[in-house]
Amino acid sequence: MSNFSAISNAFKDHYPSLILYALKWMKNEDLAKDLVQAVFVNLLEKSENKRILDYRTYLFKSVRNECIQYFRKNSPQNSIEELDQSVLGYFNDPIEQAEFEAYVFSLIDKLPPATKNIFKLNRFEGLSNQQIADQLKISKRTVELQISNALKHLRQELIKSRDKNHNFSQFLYLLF
Amino acid sequence: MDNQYRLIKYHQKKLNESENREVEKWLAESESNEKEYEQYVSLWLAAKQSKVLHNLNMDHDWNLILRIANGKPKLLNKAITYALRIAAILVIAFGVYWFSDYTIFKPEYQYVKNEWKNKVKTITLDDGSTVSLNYMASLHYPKHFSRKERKIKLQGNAFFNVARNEAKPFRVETPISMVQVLGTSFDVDASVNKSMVTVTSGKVKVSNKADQNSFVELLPNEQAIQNGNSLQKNTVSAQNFIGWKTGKYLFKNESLLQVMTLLERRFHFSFHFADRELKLRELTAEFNGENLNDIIEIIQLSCQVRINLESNNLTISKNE
Repeated sequence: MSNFSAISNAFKDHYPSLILYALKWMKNEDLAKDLVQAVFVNLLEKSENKRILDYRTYLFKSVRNECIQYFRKNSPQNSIEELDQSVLGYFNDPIEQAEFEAYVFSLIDKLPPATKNIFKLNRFEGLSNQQIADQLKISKRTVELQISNALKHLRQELIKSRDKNHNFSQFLYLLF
Repeated sequence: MDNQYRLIKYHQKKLNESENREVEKWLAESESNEKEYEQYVSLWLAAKQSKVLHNLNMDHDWNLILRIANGKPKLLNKAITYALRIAAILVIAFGVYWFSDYTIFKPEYQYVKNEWKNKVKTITLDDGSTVSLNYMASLHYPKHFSRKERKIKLQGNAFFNVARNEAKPFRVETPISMVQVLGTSFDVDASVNKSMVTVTSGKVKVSNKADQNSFVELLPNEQAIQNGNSLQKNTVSAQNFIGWKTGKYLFKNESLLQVMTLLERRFHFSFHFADRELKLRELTAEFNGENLNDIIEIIQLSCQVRINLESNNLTISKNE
């Protein structure tokens, strides 16, 4: 496989996780995106004289370095250690956490349409259940029921994907 | 547990006492119950974190990365500039011999384009004037201005802050218009068949490139629009036209159509009104650097409309 298609595949596989990973340090979405994009630009420019065996490790390390450099340049008083612990859920490793989040996002897309819509309004748009109920002209109870549904669905999908795909990152074994 | 949402509420400490006890009892029943609870909470938190992926456009971002990476092949550029330099030396030597006229020393032009959607690119010119380029705006400018004038070429949207120098007029050339100033700040939005110039301070003259006798003179909060060959002048709130750079907007009974047109220049979405009548709904609001989601929410509430943002496309529809 040529370097270019390897990089292009690595982009498809890891870009969403890398952005979520950068966001563990960067509070700003645009900044996080810019940093991750810069890593890929760098990689493409140097692709001829570099042989990378493990893109996943390389990319996450590079993004982390970009974040560190950004902090050194822009706010030397804050050190890189100030990783936003509050966003780490049940993982100790921010890389696994980011990959888990990206995977959950891809599962949300597969929810039944009505359930998906309500779940997205709550989690992505940050609307309260009352606001969702008002907007969709349904009862608050229905909203909560749909969110319950969504959670049930997501958990089942995760368990299924763990049983089906033994190569999928081991983090699912820790959790599911 | 059949009511998964109750576990989330337990996690958020939003249950009343008796509900709380029920959940705690269920949790104590078995280790697998406890594990199930942790799984739901981690799903809940992960979903919230993944929110940023909601607006992610992978194809767009990959193309952007390729464009930026390809925009920098040093080898080819070097060869061309080298050849150009040799040619320039020959021409100059020949020119000096032939004309002995300094006008032959044409300023060397540079080209810059802002490909970063989320950044404003600011360039400082030779005379200290600054140009802020919006997304996809491009500028041709000389490294050093000539003796007589300061002339640059623009396509796209940019904000200028021009250093005063009455002896050397500052000219912005767009595909169809010519903007001439002494020292001032103003915004230009120029495509191949339309130019819009908005002045925030000083005095600016805008003329039709095809017909220099057709021109308008602008003072602060005045705007010239050239559409094809017709040139007209309006009074506007100039602050809103540089909002793409400052994030500051003050709308007073402004139509939603105009609001969307102005916000598009900052957030680079495309928009669509599901109902034509909605274009005329009026908004009165003040923004100061809020992000797009917050702005959308405010517009939804105050205009009683629904706005859907999906992969960079805004759809405005009736709130029913």
